[in-house]
Amino acid sequence: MNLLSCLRGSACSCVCVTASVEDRPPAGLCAQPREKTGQRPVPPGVKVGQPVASAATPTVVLEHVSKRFGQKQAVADLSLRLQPGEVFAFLGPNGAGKTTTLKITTGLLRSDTGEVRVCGYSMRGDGRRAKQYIAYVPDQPFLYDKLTGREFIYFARDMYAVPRGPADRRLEQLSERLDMGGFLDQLTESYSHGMKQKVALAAAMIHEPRLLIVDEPIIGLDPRTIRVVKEMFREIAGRGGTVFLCTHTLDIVETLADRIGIIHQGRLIALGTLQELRAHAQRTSRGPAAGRPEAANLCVGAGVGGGPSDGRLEDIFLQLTEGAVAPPGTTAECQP
Amino acid sequence: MAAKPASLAALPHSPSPPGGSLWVLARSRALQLHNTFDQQLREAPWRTLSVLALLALIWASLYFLLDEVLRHVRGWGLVGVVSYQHLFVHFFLVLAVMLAFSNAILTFGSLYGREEAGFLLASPAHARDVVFVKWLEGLFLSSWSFMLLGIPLMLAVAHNAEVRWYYYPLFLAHFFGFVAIPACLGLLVAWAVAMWAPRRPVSLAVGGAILLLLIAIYWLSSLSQHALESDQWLHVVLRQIGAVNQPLLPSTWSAKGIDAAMHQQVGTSLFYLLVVLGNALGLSWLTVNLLGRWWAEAYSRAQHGRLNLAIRFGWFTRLLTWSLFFYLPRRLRELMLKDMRGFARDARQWSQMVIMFGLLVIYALNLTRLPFDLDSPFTKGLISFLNLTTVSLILATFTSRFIYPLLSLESHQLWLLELLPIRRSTLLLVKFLFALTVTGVSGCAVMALAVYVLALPPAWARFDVLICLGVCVGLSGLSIGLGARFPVLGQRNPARIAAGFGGTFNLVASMAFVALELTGVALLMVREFDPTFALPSTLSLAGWAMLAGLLTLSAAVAATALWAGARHFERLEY
Repeated sequence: MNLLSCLRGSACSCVCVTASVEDRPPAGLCAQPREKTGQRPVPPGVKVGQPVASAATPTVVLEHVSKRFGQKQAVADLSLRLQPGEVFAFLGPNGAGKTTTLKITTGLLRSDTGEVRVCGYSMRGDGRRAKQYIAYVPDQPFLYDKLTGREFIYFARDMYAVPRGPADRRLEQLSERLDMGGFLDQLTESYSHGMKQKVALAAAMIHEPRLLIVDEPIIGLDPRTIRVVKEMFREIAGRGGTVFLCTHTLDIVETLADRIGIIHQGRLIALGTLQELRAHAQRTSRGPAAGRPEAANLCVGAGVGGGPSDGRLEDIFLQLTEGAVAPPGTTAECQP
Repeated sequence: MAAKPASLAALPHSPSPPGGSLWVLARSRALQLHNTFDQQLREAPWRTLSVLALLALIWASLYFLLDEVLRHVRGWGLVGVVSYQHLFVHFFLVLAVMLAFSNAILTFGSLYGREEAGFLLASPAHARDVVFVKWLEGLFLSSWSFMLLGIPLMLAVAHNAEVRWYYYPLFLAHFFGFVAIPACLGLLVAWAVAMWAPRRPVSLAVGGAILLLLIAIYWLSSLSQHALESDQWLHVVLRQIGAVNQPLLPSTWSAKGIDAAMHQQVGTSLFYLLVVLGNALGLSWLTVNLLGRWWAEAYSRAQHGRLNLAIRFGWFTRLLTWSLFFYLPRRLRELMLKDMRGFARDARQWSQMVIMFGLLVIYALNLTRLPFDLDSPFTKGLISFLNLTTVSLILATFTSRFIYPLLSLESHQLWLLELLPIRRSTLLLVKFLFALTVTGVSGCAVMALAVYVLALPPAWARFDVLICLGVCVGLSGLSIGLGARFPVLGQRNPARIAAGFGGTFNLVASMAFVALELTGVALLMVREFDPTFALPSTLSLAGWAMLAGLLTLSAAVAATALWAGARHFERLEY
């Protein structure tokens, strides 16, 4: 493995390493990542999202990742790159493979095929180094029952070797922002789900991760805290970090995500910005009904704003995963 | 959208935490232990002291029992001299088997199953450090109960032999050195199951336990093939003792080391101690490094086993429930069905019940092989009383471990039950009937088999079965009632629920109830015996009256416990 430090003032901020010859950036720092030859062509109408921070090595690289559990193909030939400075939302129906993908990215599960790299480190060969840069908050946060919230966050601090002074200041900030002062010194066994979620998020943020992976982060949180959490995600992205977000709350995705990936039955069926997905959904809805004038008024967006650019993510999601489903109040032409 | 991202002002990361993740994990464990003790002493000091006092009582009882056994063994003269070593060999062998088994189960859950394993695996903690800490935890948890036996044994041996001061540290050193070896074996078994058989860990554990049980049964049955006073019996015993006294087994090394310490042969004892420690350290180093290297892979493979297979019909449990509880309204039978399925689909629950009662069935079937004159009415009466005692004690253990936690386990979904059009006290009644049916069917079936094999007179056969049923009523009522009076809310682990104050109190109350019932039975039998201490063919009127009194006592205990539990449960806010 060739270790290459890629740090250039304020223009390119990520500390990157390269794992293979193919990914080594050309001369000149922070060059554009090249498409490998022989890669599967991306479906028409869907293009790989441009990195938010241009010319940066991806934070996460999933290449042809597959995972099977017995007879069930949980993830099938999934390829994905997440860039520094972006909030990436992962959507899909229940059982589509979202959590499996997240767990493969964090190293909890080994993929059957393909490669996973985080900040250039292979999860299979050098997982421990990669995990230095990751924070993972599952949908059911784990806390030690017999530790207080503060002690649990200190545990995370020590595990990630964060110096005490800055970590303590950071904890105070997080405690104030997430309103944890009232329960931080109680044993976590007495916490509600929302309290556990706050402490888990604080423990994840204490070491300022390069990659924050969260599964359903706002369940059980009050509206004020949800606002704070969204701000925190944007701050991470603003500092050049990456947020890999898995959620069913589409409002959050619409307001927060720079790019969206939709997985269905283990396969990535759509990838791009919200605008790109809208366009793709419109093209997809036209496809089977090509030549039918009565299908010109697309279901996506109808009754909501009248035009394709106003299509809600819910409609797009349903159309892409289940076929066209008419939103309430739509005209007869939109009935499937 | 963010502009060009500023340089990540990340706090500097070192390749590993200062002092390593081992120190961080160890400190976290120590802190959790401190918080647990602090919480117990602050919130329930009397409960904590009661539990400690009961543990001390059990410890003292074991010491006196062992002391008594060893005193008799010493009286056997030359045989007694030889038998100490054989005693230690068997002790350490049984210890090794049970420790390896329990450690395998504990390690599988903590390294490959629980949420904490996933949390630690996603962190930059060194895998080897995590495995080492988990190994230590498993060692501590699984050897804790054996410390209850090891130290009384050490003191009992010292009391019956002329030992010097160095016997004590050598015994402890041998003990602690030895337990590391089966702990490592347990770790390796857990790893092997995670790697190559992740889909059926519980079935494997149950299968392993049943296999051990069959080996124990074969061993016991071969002993009982011949008459006690015959030469063949002595040869069988010596052959079986010789089979476990292998020079390459760690149990033999520790047994010889302790035996040498007893007989003031310090050099020999130290030699065997070094052999045990060398092997223990070497195996531990190998195990921790091997499992650390393969932890991520094994964890990933173990997740395959968490996929549940589809259960399409569940007809068997429905048929069983409808047959057993035909007398209940349909709504209550549906509640029973929920509990029946929960019981049947948790192998950890029914497997222990199968093992407990399976042992009793095998014992009952082999009653005629016992080296006693079973034609003697006195012997029959004595054995029937001992059978009743054994079944009652096993029922008390079973109800404390499995029936007591039933109500506490409902606390997570109490909101669901609250929405049903039934009263909370009805829920208690349903649990009681469920417990009574499970214990009654199994307990009375075993008693019926035993009285049939013993060929007891019909009156006494009915007596034994009725008393067994009364014990089931009392124990079920106690466990459900006290489970409602002292619930452990929000806890999903039945073992932890049973190990708390309420569970311990329930166990003591159950034992006291059993003791009371059996005292009544003993008094009745003594009263009914004829002058030759023979069991009569029928009970007298007074005897039937005493039986009615004992059954009334059972009903009264059950009713009182259920009433107290229902009163508390009705007012419970959760």
